[in-house]
Amino acid sequence: MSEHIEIYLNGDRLQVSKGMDLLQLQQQYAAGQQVAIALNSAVMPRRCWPEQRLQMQDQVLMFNLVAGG
Amino acid sequence: MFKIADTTLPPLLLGSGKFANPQLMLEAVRASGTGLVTVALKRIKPGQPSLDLVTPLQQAGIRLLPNTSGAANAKEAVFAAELARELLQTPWVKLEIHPDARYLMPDPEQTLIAARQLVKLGFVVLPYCGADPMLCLRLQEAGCAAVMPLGSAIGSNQGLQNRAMLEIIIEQAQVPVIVDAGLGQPSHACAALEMGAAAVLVNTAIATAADPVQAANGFRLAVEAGMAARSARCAPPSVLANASSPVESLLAFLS
Repeated sequence: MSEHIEIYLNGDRLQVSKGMDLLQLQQQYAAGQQVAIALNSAVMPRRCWPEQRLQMQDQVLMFNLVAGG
Repeated sequence: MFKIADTTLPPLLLGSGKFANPQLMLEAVRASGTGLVTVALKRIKPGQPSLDLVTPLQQAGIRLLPNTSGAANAKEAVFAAELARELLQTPWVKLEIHPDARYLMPDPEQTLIAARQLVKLGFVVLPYCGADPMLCLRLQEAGCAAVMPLGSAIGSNQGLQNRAMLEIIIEQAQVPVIVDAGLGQPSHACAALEMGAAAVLVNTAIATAADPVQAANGFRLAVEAGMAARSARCAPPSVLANASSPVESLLAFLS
């Protein structure tokens, strides 16, 4: 059985380790950044990230703050 | 100074966009004396580091106001606001919905729909909108903490192109009126405050000036001048002249 699953991060297809949670995803792809995460169109509070294990075909959106008027 | 929710703020708000670099932005923010700076949301590029805009501003004691720029409709704006609330742990949001990329005019219908939803969700809503007195009344009725009618198109530097409408909005307002967008010179900001606006929001005029720090200083002085003018209540304009010096013929008695 594959040790990886396929998810989407900001529209890009990714292979991630089976059992990875949102916190680990953030640490891998946005380390050191303040981000907000939505999973399958639902905004995920930060306290939930360690418990939220990714599933096949999950759609993850990750945002940070940038300059704007 | 003016008040939003339970927070008192100086009457000059700044946008953080378009500065040549974050250090310059920080210097301009300091020179402006502002207490509130807007920021935007963007999808990260996975694996790529990004500049930390937030920490330096927060360390300087500046409150951050996230906007919903990029939202094309109410649903997207509410989603963006929820993301921003989670990110910054603030219920404050600048509601911005401008699907038209050419003129960046705010969508009045979607803005009102989103404002109603966001207020119900507990947000402190500062909606960017057209200089439409009726819309501003409806946004107030919906529970918005302020209204932010535009002076002119975003980034256009055209100044107060809708003075007559802004005057009506200010006259009818029960919440602070923050003139946002299109202010190009400090004199525009002074005029807005003089007219009775509670505050102005400026971005392009400062960020793209040859000397952004001096521009920020100029806007700071301009809002102070506008507030002073408003409290001084100078006499209104007159069609007729009104002499400042004696006008009796000085030497008539000699003739």
